[in-house]
Amino acid sequence: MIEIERQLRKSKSIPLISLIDVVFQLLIYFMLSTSFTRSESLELALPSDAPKHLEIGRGKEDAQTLHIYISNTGETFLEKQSVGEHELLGELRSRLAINPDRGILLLSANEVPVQVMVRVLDRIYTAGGKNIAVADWVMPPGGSHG
Amino acid sequence: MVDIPRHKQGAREPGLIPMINVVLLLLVFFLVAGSIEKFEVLHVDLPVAKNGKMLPEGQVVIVLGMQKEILINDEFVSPGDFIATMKEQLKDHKDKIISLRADERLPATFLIAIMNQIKNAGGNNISLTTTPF
Repeated sequence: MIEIERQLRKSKSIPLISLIDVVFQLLIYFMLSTSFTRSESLELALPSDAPKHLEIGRGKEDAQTLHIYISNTGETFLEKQSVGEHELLGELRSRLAINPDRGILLLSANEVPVQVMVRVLDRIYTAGGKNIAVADWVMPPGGSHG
Repeated sequence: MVDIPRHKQGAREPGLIPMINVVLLLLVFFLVAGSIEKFEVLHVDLPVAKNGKMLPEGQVVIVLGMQKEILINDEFVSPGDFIATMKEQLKDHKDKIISLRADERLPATFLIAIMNQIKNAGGNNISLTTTPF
């Protein structure tokens, strides 16, 4: 009689070791498959979203539009002047302080990697640029700004 | 025969209930804080940017590999079929969010050409995915 009662009591209790096994398995699965890396996004304007005057080669470029060129060597030019990255930030800040909505056209030469273009885009965003469009740029044969 | 007192034997056992509590807490932490890594069809090293914003993931995800491979929603697409596939993706509504995941070493002009093709397919809500600085 006592033996039966003991057996009944045993079967009612939760099998703790099996439960721990399952929980550990789940924990290991989630530890291995979880990633904490987060990605962010830069909003880009398609050439169609940009004002018409930002489209290059239409012959009606607005004098107000700032042109930033990136050469194949990674050198940046603001209009016709070669500028370093820090200089570019300062120059853009001072020009955008007068007119924050000024259009900016970023032109990349054909060998410029995406990272270099994004770095310059990042500078433009830091300087407060909003109206940004990107386009490709065929470098003149001399290799410098045309 | 040495008679060990019962309470001493009990003291040596690990505290099972606190251990389960800790393990469950860890489990809940990983469940809530992490996101399960999606299988990457094509690995890309995303460009680094300081000014990126946390935007919702696009309804159309375009991956551009280092060797100019193009994937639209995890399916390889040849450059010739790109516009047709994009038109198909955007036929329901043109304002779908398009996320571009371009490898940092890819020529920027290729990315610009893809952006122009997206424009031709009718897309307009576009963002370039970056990793925080």
